[in-house]
Amino acid sequence: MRLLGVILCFFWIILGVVVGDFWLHVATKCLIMTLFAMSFSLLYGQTGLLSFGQAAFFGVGAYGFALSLTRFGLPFVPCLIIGLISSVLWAWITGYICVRLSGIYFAIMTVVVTQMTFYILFQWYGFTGGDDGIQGLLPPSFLGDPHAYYYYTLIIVASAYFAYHKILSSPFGLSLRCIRENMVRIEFVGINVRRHRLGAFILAGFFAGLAGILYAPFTRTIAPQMANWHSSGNAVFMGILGGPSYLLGPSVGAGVWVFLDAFVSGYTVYWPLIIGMIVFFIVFFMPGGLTGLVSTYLTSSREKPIIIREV
Amino acid sequence: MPSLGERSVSEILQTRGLTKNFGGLAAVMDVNLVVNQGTTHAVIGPNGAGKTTLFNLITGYLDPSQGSVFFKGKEITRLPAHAICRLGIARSFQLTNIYPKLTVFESVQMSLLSLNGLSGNLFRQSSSLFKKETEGILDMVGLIDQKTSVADVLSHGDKKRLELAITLGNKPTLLLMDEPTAGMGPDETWAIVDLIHKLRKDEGLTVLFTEHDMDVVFDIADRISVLHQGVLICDGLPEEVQKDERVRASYLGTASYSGSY
Repeated sequence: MRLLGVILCFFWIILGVVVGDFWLHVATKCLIMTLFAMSFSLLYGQTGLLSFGQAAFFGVGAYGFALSLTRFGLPFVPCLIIGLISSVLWAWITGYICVRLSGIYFAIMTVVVTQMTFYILFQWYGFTGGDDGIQGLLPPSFLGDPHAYYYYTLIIVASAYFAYHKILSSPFGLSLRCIRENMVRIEFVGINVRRHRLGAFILAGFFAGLAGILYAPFTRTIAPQMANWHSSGNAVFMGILGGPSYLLGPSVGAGVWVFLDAFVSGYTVYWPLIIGMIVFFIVFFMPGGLTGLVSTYLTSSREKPIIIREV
Repeated sequence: MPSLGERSVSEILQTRGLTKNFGGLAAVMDVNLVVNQGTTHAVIGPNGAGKTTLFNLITGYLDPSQGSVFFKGKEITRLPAHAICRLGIARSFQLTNIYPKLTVFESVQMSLLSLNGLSGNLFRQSSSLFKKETEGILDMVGLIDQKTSVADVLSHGDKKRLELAITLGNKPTLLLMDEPTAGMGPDETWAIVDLIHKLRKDEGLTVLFTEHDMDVVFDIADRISVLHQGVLICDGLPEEVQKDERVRASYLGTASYSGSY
């Protein structure tokens, strides 16, 4: 487990040195999207809550950063903190309502949240710039170089992944899995399901917000579309693709999706069609996603390493 | 076994005028039930008598239409299920209600984490917590060899046992069991009966249970309440209940009691 973690870190560190500008850009995006997929996976794969609303917190994180930078002219780091706090607070407020519902009603409520967030960002011209978005989100000069930004992203994402691992193996992680498995039974074990779900929702909001504050200075321009349900769908797709209840799932899902996006879109304008067919195939034949596939076929022992064991 | 008299030790659980209506149907009607500390108390009655509804009302799964529930003298009516559990009431379910994809060990460990207020802890390694206690419970119910098995693959009898182990992980003072031996073979059934005997002797556990197997009921119960169409028609020592005319008419059949239902 630890060995695999070290190998993965080395892979990403070396990747930043060997690849050219285009693939460095792709790799950075892949790292950021890993956090976005993680946000979805924590809710769906661990807690059993199908959220179509993670883009709301992705968007709020990015806008929180961008607005404090452009409207209030704050320095870079406080802007990042404000972005993160705003997405956590927004997750807290909207989660308070969402976690009261279950199943399809929860899913619909999260769509409502993400569309509401989108329309606020889209129509509040005076403050958010509406559909023009916000441009000129330059990172400070020491992160201006793509390589510097790549390593800065890598440090944050690796730390977040470590935290994700800790959450999954903590007592809270076990509580979430119990809620996923049987939310009726767990109440009779003394667990306040709503409170634990809200905790998971806020943590997921944190990861999405973290993705948002990394994304804004990376693309240097943001638009309200990053908070709509189409954007949420990307998180759902990456999560399902990688295997939402596996520790490694979010990184596999984000890696494959961003790579396909970069690679296939160079060949055909119909790349969403290809992506769609891949989703179809995975949902139909690989319920555990790509990590689940590896887990089933590459390891026969009962004691699988946690990284590819369904948790 | 029935050493506890008509008026005896302190009441641990009391319901007053407990009523639950589902539409026009009164599933439970004006039930006044008293469970004394340390007793093994059976609730019997034909299918649809309201036994499970009564359990659901006591444990907070359902809110009563009228009436109230007291636990150790404090009112617990309309408290959420998790709050009632935290006071020391644990229950098992009639249909097995477990965590299908978790291991046997994790399922029981969860109850201990919850009991010790660690369910929201983010910073500890859960696999190393309460190992000994969890294994102790698994040993007691006879599931220690399957501790790494996924709950879903267990046999029906083992699932029922796991269900019981999950409730024991909460270290309750009052244990409610809804048909603990339903669907079990004779051997498994008597293993559970022995376990219940052991629990009340060693841990001083108060048990309230429903059961269809009359051999089991008369073996372990030292007090029996009979529900019929939602109404508590009889409440007393096993021999009193056995002799009661209304009980015979409604439940045991008008012919004399013949061993099992």
